[in-house]
Amino acid sequence: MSTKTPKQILAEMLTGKKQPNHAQELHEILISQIKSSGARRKRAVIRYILDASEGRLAQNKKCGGSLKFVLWFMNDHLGDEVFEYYARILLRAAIDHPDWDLGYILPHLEDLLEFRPFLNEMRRPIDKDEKAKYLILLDIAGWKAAVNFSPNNLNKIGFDAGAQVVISSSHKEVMILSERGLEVQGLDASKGWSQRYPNFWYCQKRGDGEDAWRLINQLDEILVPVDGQSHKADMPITDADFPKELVILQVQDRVVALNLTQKNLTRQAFRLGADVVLASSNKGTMINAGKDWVVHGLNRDTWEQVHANLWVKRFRGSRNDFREILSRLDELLIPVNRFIQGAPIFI
Amino acid sequence: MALAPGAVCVSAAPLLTEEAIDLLKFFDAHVNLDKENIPQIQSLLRLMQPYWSAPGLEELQGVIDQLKRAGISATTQNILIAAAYKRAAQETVNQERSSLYETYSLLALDRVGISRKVLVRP
Repeated sequence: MSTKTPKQILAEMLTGKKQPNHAQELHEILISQIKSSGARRKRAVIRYILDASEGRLAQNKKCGGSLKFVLWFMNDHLGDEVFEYYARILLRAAIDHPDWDLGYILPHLEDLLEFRPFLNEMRRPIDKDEKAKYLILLDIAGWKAAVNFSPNNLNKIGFDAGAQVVISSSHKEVMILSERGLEVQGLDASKGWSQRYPNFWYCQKRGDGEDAWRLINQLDEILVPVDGQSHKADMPITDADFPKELVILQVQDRVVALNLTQKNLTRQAFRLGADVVLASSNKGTMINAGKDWVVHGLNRDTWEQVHANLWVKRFRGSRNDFREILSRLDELLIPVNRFIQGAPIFI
Repeated sequence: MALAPGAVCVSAAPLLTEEAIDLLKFFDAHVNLDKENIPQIQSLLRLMQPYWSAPGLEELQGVIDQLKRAGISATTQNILIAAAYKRAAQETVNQERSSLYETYSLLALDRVGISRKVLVRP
């Protein structure tokens, strides 16, 4: 994601001066542009960008080949400055060509030299299943979240998979985006967070993986329903029963307790119904499943297996390990009965 | 596979001698094979070595059936199974299979609450 949004770039183009990166101010600037502009097409493009950025775009206007899609694609593939350059060309062309359908602008890009190298890739259908593999879908305290540790924009795929909120942490950035009807509030601006839209916060720093867990841990405080009604699902396990230090997630139907503290809370987590506990501290990282499970398949060069259901990594823990484990949970965590089915011998 | 008429079916010979079974019975009766007693379990494994001449995992089922018939405890059976898996893990060159046997070995020990330390240089 560029530091500048298409909304900001359009506002700067139309006013001819730098504009603050503040969603509400930009909204007002663009609305005043609509009011003062006599050109119908310009008004249509501004409205489209406002609708796109504020989640009001009709389904047929935001799918593959739309202006929104192309902006999203270019943002994903280019650095900040180059993206701004491309966004300006595209927005200018959209304003100058009233005959171009904003909901399907792709065929006209052949007229724009700069876009030609990207056309083939833009035309390729998106393999959603392939991309979804980069997402960890989890239930946390009644929220459905998708965590994306790749630098790619998988927001739509996350929402299509049922997530209410998508959290991304990669070498490019850290961001949180909630679905329509939910706003994100209260992130710490002094730590580099800036709010782009009511439902979107962005932090342009290299993600260390921990950011994602910190956000997950805060969801109850930062996700605010616009209609004031609860958007949370009932948790099969009462989250309130767990010690506050534990982050309780449901991943692939398994209850996972993340222990981000230095305390040993494993027993407590199992007593309260966790299937697996992941802990990371100064001493190392640990994955411990309940007695009905076997954990199998971690790399023995870096992990040491202490019990069939317990592995440890004995050096300063990295919560990045959580990412590997959670994304492979289905494969790593095996019910004992299933695990021994193919064994030559067991009594 | 169906046997041809007149074919003679020979059951596999027991892999453990009577002497070995007696030794295991002795251990079962007189030694507390719990997790606190690692040296004793290691003694058991050392003593058993010549008797079961490293059966492969395929033959191990026969050994275990023998142990069951002789009334040897589940703890002892699991220790022996774990040792067999551990050895199989060390001997196989296929990394994936080796890793699988390691987990099987630990699972056998976990089931009777015995530490993996017993399998270190038995």
